[in-house]
Amino acid sequence: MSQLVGIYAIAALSIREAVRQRLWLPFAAGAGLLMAIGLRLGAVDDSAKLKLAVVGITAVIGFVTVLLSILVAAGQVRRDLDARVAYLLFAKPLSRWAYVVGRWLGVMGILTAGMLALAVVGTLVMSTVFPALPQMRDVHKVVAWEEVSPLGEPITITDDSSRRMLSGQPGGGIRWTIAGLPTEGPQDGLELLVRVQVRGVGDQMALEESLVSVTAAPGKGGQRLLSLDPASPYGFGTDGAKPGPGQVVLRHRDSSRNDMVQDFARLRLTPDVIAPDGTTIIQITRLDSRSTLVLTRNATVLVARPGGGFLLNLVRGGLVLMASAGLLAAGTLLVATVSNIGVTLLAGLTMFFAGNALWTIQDTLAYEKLSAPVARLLQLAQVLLPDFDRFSVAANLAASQSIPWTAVGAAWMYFGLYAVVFLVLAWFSLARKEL
Amino acid sequence: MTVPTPAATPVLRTVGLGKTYHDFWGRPRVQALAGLDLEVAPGEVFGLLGPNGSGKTTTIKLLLGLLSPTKGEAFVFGRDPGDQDAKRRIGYLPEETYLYRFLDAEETLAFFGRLFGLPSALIKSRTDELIKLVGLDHARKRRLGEYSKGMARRLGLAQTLINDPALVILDEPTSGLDPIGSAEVKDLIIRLKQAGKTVLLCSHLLADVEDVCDRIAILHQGVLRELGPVDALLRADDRIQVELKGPNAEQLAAIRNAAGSSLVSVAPPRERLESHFRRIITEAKGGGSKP
Repeated sequence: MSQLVGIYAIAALSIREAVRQRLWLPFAAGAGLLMAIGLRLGAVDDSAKLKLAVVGITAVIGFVTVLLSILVAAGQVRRDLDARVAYLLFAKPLSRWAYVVGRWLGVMGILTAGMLALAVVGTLVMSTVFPALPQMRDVHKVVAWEEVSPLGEPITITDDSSRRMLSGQPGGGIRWTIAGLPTEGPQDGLELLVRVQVRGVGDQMALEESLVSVTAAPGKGGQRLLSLDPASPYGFGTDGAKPGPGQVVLRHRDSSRNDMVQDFARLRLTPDVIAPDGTTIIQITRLDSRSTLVLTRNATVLVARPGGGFLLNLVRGGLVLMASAGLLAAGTLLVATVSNIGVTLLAGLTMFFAGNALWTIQDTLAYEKLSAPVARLLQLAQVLLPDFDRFSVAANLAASQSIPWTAVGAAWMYFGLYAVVFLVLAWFSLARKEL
Repeated sequence: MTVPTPAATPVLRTVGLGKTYHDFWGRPRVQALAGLDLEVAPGEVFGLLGPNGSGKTTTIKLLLGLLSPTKGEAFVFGRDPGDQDAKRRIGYLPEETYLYRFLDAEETLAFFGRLFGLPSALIKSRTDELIKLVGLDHARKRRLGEYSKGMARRLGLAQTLINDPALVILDEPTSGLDPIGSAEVKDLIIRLKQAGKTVLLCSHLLADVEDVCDRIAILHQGVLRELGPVDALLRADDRIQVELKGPNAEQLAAIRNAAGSSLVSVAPPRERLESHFRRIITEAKGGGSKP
């Protein structure tokens, strides 16, 4: 109990120290940058506006939190040791572990306040640029998929490929199984979002849309035609001609066009096609012989339901970013207990850049001929380095996809484990330190 | 002055306490303290004397658990120096004032009060009391970055007392203070003794120590050279000092004749510079006529 008081005292001191040393200035600069982004958005194409705004906001929040987590952790701990205030602190009934935890919590407190402030400014900027803020969507993931021949026979997909091309004789299609759906959803059904890549065949190379049927069923048989949502951004054909019942004209959308509001055809998945266990099987059948369809396992059909407002999801995204900042703060704090301020700052930044460049290690291991020791070293780095790209906050928000609490929990579990290890090492280092 | 006997349960005890500093490779670099045996009784004002590098500060750090001994043992209130309950009863003023420059006096004392887990109301009352005690009432809202060295030292002294400690460890407490401030510190030490506190005073200003300490230990190059009550150590048994109030020439002549060749000196006593300085400043503050 007494150490909790010490932790609180040190955490509160950290926050006061940051305020007095005007470390809120980066947040203010970040807020200014967000406003500047808001002003300049008028010059951008409408379809890219939302994405750009969201990426700008998350980038500013991410940059400022990362920068400050390193600066604050390094500065405060190093100053205590260099200015010998630590003499006085540890002569009091304050355990060294309580000091480490208190400093870390102080950094996190500063970051939380700053992140919330930036999220509010970001939302205000969004609400001035857009007449209505986007409603975010929760997405249910596909658990299985299979191909269906033009004769209606199922073909199991055995390879690891996550893409399938449908061409040749029409009538063939793909079936996706999606689980975990609410059986008592809204009466007008859940949203079914569909997006494919369309390629023309032969002299129809310029073709950018293709006619398909979209059906669903609670089990293997009895597929029922799904109807288009009247608010769907497309699905009716470019000439405005209405397709037949259950038919949808899919427009070409590659993987970079992933905004759930404007890049997906929207259909309604009614409760009668969902099994009591929350499973449904959705099938897209190709009806147009002039085109080839490219379909993917995880990104062609999405079942979505309301995932909360923009501000709430931005805050949850901020919490995910803060989990990685917490790791950086803990790592920086560890280095601060053993080295000088220059090395500490360098170590924090190196950790961040290394964690962001993990894909280069993966590529190097996959495509380069390496000697055994180098390969082992890179494999070890791949295992040990935290992956800062693991949770794609910006991409999800830009696609109007919600950041669920489970993602926040997963991020804190992943980065938190690293942070705990670093904090324990920092305590160990400080406990052995002779002042 | 009554000198408490070390026979009572000691507040501080060291048994063969030694500290050798090592270099990066673990090779012994310097022996700061070599087998110190010491006991300080409750209510005692104990002086630790020695020139620079004699091992005084190392001894204090060992007693506070800031350093680990390379040999021997230390006990504070009968416990290991790192014990949190023992630390709860200690007030420590380091050799230099290590405080946060971005805090003001009130915030500094409140922060250290919180480290001791003191309730808010008590922190507030202790803060008011101590700020007045060290004469910083006029600067209680100023940040320490704007303090003079002496003011910061006074605040350092205040933080030492925030928890009303049973043991006060003062490392060069008058460092950076003007003579008035130094005298006030000495008065404070005497008041602490009267309140039953134990004081470990570490200084190389011998006059400070002589004025307030019951017992002293003299260290040199990490070795204890002398230990005992101040009066006993400084008494010159082979000489007698006689003070007469307003003697006339006949009395002085009679003394000279009676003493004969054993007479060393006959002269009026000198006021100590410190008390002279204090008197002048006190008069000046009181609107005295002297320029």
